[in-house]
Amino acid sequence: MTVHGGVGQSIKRKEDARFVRGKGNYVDDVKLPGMLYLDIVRSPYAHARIRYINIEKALKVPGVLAVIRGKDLEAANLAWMPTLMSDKQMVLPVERVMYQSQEVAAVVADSRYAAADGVAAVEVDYEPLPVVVDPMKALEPGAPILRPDRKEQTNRIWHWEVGDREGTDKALKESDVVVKENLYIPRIHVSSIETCGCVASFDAMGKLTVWMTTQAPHAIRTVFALVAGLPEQKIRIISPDIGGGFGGKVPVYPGYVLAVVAALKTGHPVKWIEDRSENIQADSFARDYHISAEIGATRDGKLTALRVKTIADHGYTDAAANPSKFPAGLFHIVTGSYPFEKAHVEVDGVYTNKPPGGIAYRCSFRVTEAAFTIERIVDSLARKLGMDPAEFRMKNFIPPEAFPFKSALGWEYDSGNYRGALRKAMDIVDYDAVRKEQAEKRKRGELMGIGISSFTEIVGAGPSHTFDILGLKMFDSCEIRIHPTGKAIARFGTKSQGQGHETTYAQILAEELGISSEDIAIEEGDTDTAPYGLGTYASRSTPTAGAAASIAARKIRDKAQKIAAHLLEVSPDDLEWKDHKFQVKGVPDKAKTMAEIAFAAYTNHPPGMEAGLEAVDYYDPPNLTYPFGSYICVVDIDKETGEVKIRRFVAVDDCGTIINPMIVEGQIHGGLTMGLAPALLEEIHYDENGNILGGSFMDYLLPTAVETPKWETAKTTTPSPHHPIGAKGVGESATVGAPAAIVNAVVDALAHLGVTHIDIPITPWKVWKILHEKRAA
Amino acid sequence: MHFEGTFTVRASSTRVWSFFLSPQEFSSAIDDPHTIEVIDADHFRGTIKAGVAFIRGTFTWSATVKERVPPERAQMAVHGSGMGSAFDIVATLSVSESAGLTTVKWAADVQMSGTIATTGARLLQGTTEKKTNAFFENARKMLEGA
Repeated sequence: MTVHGGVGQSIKRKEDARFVRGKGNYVDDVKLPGMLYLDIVRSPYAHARIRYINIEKALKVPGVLAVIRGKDLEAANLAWMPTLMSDKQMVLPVERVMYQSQEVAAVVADSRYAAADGVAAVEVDYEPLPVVVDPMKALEPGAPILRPDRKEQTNRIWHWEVGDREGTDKALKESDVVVKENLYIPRIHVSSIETCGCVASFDAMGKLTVWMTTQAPHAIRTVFALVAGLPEQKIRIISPDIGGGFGGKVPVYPGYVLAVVAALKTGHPVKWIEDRSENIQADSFARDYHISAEIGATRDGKLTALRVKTIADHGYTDAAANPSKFPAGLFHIVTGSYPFEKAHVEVDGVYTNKPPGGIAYRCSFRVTEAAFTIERIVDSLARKLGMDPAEFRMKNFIPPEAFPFKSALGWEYDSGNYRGALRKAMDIVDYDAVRKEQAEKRKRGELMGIGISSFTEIVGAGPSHTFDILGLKMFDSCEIRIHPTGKAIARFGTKSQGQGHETTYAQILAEELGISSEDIAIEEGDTDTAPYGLGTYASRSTPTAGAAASIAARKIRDKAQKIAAHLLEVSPDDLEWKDHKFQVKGVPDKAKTMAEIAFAAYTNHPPGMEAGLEAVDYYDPPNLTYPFGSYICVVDIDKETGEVKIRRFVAVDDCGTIINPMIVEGQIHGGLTMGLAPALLEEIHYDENGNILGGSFMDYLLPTAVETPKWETAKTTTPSPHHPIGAKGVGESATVGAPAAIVNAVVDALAHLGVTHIDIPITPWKVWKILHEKRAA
Repeated sequence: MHFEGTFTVRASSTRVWSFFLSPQEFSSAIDDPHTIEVIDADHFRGTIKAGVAFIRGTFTWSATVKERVPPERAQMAVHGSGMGSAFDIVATLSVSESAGLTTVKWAADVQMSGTIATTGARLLQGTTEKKTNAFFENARKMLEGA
C-alpha cells in the first residue's frame, strides 16, 4: 500500500499554489508601520583613499533622516566584521575603498526616492590608488599590498595543498604521455531573480527581528550576536520566501548590518533592498580560478597521475562560504570519476581589488571548478592518445565493485556506477551514429562536435568531525509534531530558495509516518521556531535535513509502536510497521494507523508515558554523498559567425533514491541552463582600472529560452549506502557537469584544426577568431 | 583611454595658445550644457551635464593647469565626479606656427570610473572620442572666426 505523496511520487509542489498566483511573501513584501528606507553610496573607484565624506547636503534633502559613515561605525567597533572564512570585511570603509561599488556610506530616509536623492547628495573626495585586478600581478614582488591590516604583508591569503607531491611528480615523469592545460574559469554571478535585502526592526523590549534574504538564518543569527554583541535570544532572523539563492545568499553583506544599525539609530524599522546593478557589481562572486592541470597515462590509455595548481582570485577579502578546514572548498574532488593512484593539488588564495568572491554558486564548494578541470583534461588526454573520449573514460572509470572507494586525495566515495550512466547516455544519443555523422560532415567541411562529461559530485556537508563554518558543526535538523487528528507540522534548520522543500520533506515524512504529504506542514527559516541548522546550500538539504526527517520520524515510530501495542493490547514486539501502519505480525486486520495512534497519544496514552507525539533529530552524516552523471552534448558551429548551436544535450543523472522525480527533473533543467550560461555566455571581467565590465544585464548575458536547448534527461539509481533513504542530493549536479560537456563538444568540433582548449565563455567572437586564424572560415 | 590628434587652424600660435588656456573661451567649445567658475589663473571648476547613451547626469569638475609654456605647450588636469562615477583627464597641447597656419597636437589620457564606466563600457570609447573631436572642431571654427 502506498501512502499519498510518499517517496518516489511526482506530486505537484505544495508551495507552487502560492507562487503561481503571485502570493509568495518575499522580503520586499514586508511592510511595517513607520518603516524607513536605506540606500547606499558606492565607490566609483576600485582602490582609493577617502579624503573626506561630506554629508551636509544629503542631510538637507527632504525626507533624509540620517547618513551613516565608516567613522560612525568605528566608534561602535562595527566598521569591520568577520567573514565566514575567518578573514574580515568592511561594513563601511574608514580610510580606503577596495573595489568598485564598495559601500561607502548609507542614507536613511522616509522613502526610497528620498534615500536615492540623499545618496546622490553625499560628497566623497577620493585619492585614487594603484589598482590590482590580476591575481598573478598581485603576487609579483613590488605589487601594492592590498591588506596592510594583516600581519602577513603579502597579497597571498593562504596556500593550501593536499596529496602526494613527490609521488605525483614521479608518476608523471614516468608516464608515457602527459598533457597539460591552462584553464581559466572566469568570475560569474548567481544573478538570482530576487536581489538581496532585509528589514530590520527592534521591538519595545529591544528584541531585533530581521527579515532577510539568507540561505542560513541560524548561522546568521549567531554571527549577528557575535558581531553586534546582542544576546542571541534577542535576535530573530526570518527568512521568508526567497527568489533563488545559489550560494549568493549565504554571506553576510554590509547592507544587512547597516539596516540593523540604522534601525537602532532611528528607532524605526529600516528596509534595504539592492537594485540589480548593486547585486551584480557588489555581491559575492563565484569561480575566478586560474588552473594549470597536468595528467599522465600509459601508452595504452591507463591513467597514472594528476597534478593541479590553482590561483584563486578572492577579491579584497576571503569571504567564501567554505567549511573552515578547506579554504579551497572541496576542490580536491578533482580526481573525479577516476582511480588515480597519485594526485596532488595546490591552491593559492590571492587578494585583488575586486569584490569578495569564492561563493559556492550552485555547487558544493568549488566542485564545478574541479569537475570542469578533470573532464576537460581527460578529454585532452584521450585526444592525445588517439582514443575515443567515451572509450577512454570507460577504460578508466572507478568500477562499481570498488565502492566505497578511497580517492588519492582522501575522499571516500559512497557509491557509483559510472559506466552504467555513460552507457545509458551513449545509448540515448546513439553515440556511434553521431560519430559517423560527424565524420561525414567533417569531410564536407562542416563543424560538428560531440562532448562528454562524466562527473562526480561531493555534497551533503557534512560529518561534524571534518566540516564546520566558523566553528559551527555542519549537522542539520528536523523537529516533528504530530497533532491529535493525525496531521503534522515539521520544522527544519535549512531554508528553501525554490528547491521545493515543502514538498520533498513532506514526502519523506509521509513515507516514514504513513501520513499523506498533504497533511504535513513544513516550516523553515524562522530562528524562533525552527531547530538550529546550518542552512541550505551545497546540495546539503536532502543529505542532512532530509536524513534528519527520516530519523526523527523513526523516533516517532518507536513511540507510536508502544501506543499501538497499548491500543491493540499486545506487546510492542508483536507489532510490525507494514503498509504504513502498525499491525500485529501475521494478523494484518489488527492494525493501527498513525492517525489513530496520534489521537491516542493525546487522549489514551499508556500509563507512565508522556503525552504527545513529537521528536527532533540533529543529524550528523557519517559521510558525504557522491551524486554523479554522464552528459553528452552535440554541437554544430556556424563557420560564418562562430555561433555554437547545441543540437542535443543528453543528461543522465544519478542522485541515489529519488524523492520526487518531477522536482528532480526541474532541478536538472535549471542546473543545465546554469551550466550552459558560463560555458557560452556569462563572464564578469574588469578593466585595468578595476571598472567592472558586465555590471548589468546589458553586458552580463543570462541565458533565456532562446539560447536554451531542449534538455534530454534520464536517470540511473545508485542509492547512498549511508543515507537513511539512500538519497544523495541533486540541486547542483547539472551545473557542475554541464560546462565541460559543452566545451568538450566545441573543442571536438575544432580539434582537427589543432584546437585543444578554448577558455569559457566560448563566445561567437572567440570561435570566429579561431576559424580565421586557422583559415577555416 | 588614450586619445590624440592633430589639426591646423588659420590663426597665430599665440592666439591658439591663449584660447585653450582661457576658461571662458575653451569652455565655449564644449557642446554639453555646463557652468564654469574661475578660481585663479590656474584653477577652474564647474558643472557639466553629460553622459553615455541613457546614462546621463550632472558632473562637478575641477581643472588645474599643470604646465604653461606660451605659446608652445600646456598641460591641464581635470577631475570630475557625479552619478556614482568619476573621471580624470590629463590633456596636453603642443602648438607650432608655420606660414600663417598653426598646427595643434593634442593628447588626452582619460580614466573613467564608476557607473558610467561600468554600464556604458561598450559605448564609452566611441562617445568620448566623438565628444573630443567635436570639442576641437568647435575650437578650430571659433579660432578661425567661423
